[in-house]
Amino acid sequence: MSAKEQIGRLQGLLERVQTRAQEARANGAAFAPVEPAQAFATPTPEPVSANVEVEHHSFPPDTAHGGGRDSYLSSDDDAYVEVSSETVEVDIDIDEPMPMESGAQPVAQQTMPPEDLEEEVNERPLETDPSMRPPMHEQVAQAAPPPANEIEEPAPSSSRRPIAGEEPAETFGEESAPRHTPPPESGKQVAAPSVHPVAARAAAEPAINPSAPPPSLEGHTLIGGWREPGLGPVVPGATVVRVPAAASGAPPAAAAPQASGTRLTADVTRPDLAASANVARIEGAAPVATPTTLGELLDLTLAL
Amino acid sequence: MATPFDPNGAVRFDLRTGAASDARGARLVLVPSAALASLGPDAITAIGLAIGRAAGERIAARLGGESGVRSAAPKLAITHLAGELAIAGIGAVHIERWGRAMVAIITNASIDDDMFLGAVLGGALSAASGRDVAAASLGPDGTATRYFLGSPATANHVRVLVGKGLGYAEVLATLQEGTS
Repeated sequence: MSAKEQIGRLQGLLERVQTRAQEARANGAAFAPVEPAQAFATPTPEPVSANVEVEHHSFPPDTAHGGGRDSYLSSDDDAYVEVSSETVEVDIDIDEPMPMESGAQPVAQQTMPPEDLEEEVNERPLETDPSMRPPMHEQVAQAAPPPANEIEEPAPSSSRRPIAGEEPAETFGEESAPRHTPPPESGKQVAAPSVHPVAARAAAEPAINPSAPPPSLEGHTLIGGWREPGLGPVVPGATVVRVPAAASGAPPAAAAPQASGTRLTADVTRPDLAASANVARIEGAAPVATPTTLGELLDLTLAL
Repeated sequence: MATPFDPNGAVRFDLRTGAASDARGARLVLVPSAALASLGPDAITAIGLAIGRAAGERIAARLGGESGVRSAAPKLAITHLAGELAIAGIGAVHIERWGRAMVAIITNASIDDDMFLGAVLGGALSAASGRDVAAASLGPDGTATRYFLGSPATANHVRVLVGKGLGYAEVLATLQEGTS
């Protein structure tokens, strides 16, 4: 609190004291006004016939006259007003940013009655008139960032402020046609969206949106669509068939293109064969002539 | 009974009478090999055939005749054949058997003539065994010469094959395929 503010408050306090003193005088006590000091612009408590004691310790008047306290309060006063200077604690409301609780949302303070607010709202469309818009430089000034001497506190981690991650949900709401269609008639089933828009976008721009569903088959269903594992079925009554993930080790088989948009993979069974084996087996032997006599040897060679 | 080859007294020289003869007393003439080599094919073949037959008869005489030669072990009979041709100064002989074919190999021949050597081999085996055996050259192999021993018709076929440039292995293989 500055000195000016303290002086102003003390002056107000002094006026209240004077007012009370006048009231007391009006009730029967003799009151003789005391001439105020020349340099003291504010009215001072005048000496009254009643025995009034004024104790002022905190702020002696900084004036040029040398009367001092004696001249300020005449000892001839027959009325004494006991004025005690109290330390008044003034609670001044200063708009300071206060930390919000978790989940709290900043709410604008209402500065006018609701009736006036409604009128204000009714009058708001007039501002959309291009002729009523402020000049461009004023709009830029309004959108300018806060001064540099103000510290902009970061949003708490649990705040409900809009974050970038909520944008795909809105996009999903825009691109998912069945969510905006009227409820189906009795006996009809509404098919789930065939392809998750985020997944489709991730397939087209994998580097831009890394939070798209994984490329694996986990989480995809044969009836179309993509659903986060653990969540309940989207379409009541529909039978969900989860496609098993590809076996590790063997290269995943390429998904066959299906007209319906579903993905089917081949269950590969590979044989277990040895690298080599003795396939041929020789039975018997070539006839070898073993002549025991020269005659047999001659018979063999003469038979050629 | 197996009679081993005994070269002692195979050639007898009677210096007093000036006669050379075999063990059985048949007269012999020592002829220079170059003189024989200068003869024509028919003469040299006839001389070779005569030399061979004389050797075969001596083998049969020691082994008990033609039947004794045929019933003798191949090694014993070949030993007598090789011994007789060595005393005659023809060369060193041994036998190979390629499948069913009987092949004689002559090394260090005194007269390097296929007709002469073939006639000696054929005449010796024919006289010893009593079978009509002919010999046909399979071509030289270094210092040795191979001769097919068989029937006269097969011997002629071998000569045709060798004349086409085939090697002895290919000729012998061809002979095996034709009879299998």
